[in-house]
Amino acid sequence: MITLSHYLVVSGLLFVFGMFAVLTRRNAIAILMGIELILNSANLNFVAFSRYVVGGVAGQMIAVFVIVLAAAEAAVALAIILDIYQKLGTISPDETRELKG
Amino acid sequence: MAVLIFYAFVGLALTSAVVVVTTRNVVHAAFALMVTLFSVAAFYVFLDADFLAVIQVLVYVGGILVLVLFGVMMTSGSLLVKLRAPVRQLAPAAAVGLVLLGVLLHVSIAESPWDQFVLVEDPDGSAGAAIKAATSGGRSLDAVTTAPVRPRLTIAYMSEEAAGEGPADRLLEQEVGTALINTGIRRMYVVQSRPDALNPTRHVVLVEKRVTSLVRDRADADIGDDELAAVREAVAARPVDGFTPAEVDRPDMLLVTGLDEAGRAALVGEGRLREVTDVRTVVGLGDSVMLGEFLLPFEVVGALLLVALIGAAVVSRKELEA
Repeated sequence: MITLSHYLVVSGLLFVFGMFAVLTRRNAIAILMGIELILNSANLNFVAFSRYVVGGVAGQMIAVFVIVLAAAEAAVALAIILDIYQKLGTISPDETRELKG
Repeated sequence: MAVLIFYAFVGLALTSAVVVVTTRNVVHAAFALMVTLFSVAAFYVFLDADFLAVIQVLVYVGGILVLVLFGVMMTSGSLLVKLRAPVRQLAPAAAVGLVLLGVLLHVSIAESPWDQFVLVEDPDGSAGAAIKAATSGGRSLDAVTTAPVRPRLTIAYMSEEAAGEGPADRLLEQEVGTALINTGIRRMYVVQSRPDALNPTRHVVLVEKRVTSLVRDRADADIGDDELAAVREAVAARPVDGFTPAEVDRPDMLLVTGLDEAGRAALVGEGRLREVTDVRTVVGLGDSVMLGEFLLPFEVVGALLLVALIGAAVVSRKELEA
């Protein structure tokens, strides 16, 4: 029997893994992957709650929008990362301090 | 069987997510992320969100992940070095992660208010009468039916109109609760039935806690697992509003099948069943996007995507000219 709690636990674990990647990775692309994990865990929650509690299409629609946002975010982030790499020769967030006053 | 497959995908998703977080090789991380995203698509299938699963594979695996791999390729100069953080960053990150994990798991398992059941103890059948009396006076009277399922147990069936969220509905709950206390009732299950929005030929029956604080304060003991099981069996065994529950795979939902076109039309005419869009089809989802309530968000997200594309092009192009 698959309950709502199953999905919540899976999504909670995915969220924590993603957050751990964002906090510890030293490669901007790996951080981006962590963000994708976090977005996926949020999406899973939306769809699971809409299936078990609310009923209807709203949760799925929000998930579709989040996927589109993730695509836009990945495109812009990778463009910025490539730009930084060409300018500075590194994509480590620890070493890119151009904005530091 | 479905449960085993579900657990297999859970293991796959979590294992690959760990690889994403821990591996030293960015390319390995990207391919592990692909497995995670596929598993999430499988979860969407389990949640009856077929179209979303297709979109997940199409956009995430086919689009975003390829984009990420291109990013890895173009920045491959710093590929394998210094991917992991120094220990002084790992420790606080692990601490934050563990605390957050504890909170999330606690909320997901221990605190889940969405899996609760309410029970009517009904030694002499007076609970059913009390519920009917409380809901008389023209408001939602027909929507409430009761059924004694064993000597000390009555389940009250409440349709969607009766079990809403508005102030009038809370008043209704108060009245039902007060009436139950007056008949010596301490706990009750209320079974709420409504059409399944994902498939109009099915009927969703929610068994959920609809009890006033008055009743809750007087409860003698927590509801035990065997009592829950008894109620589930009773709900599954009894036809609800003329339908036979056919699928009992969730503690809080029953899917009732076997509704033919004529019966459905009759119930829609009586106002007991609402016509809903079948969102499992692309047509239904497209209707709600293009014509329905999600038109504005759809346009906003479309504009955002356009801005993001132009922005990405500008950011990349400036470097080429310089």
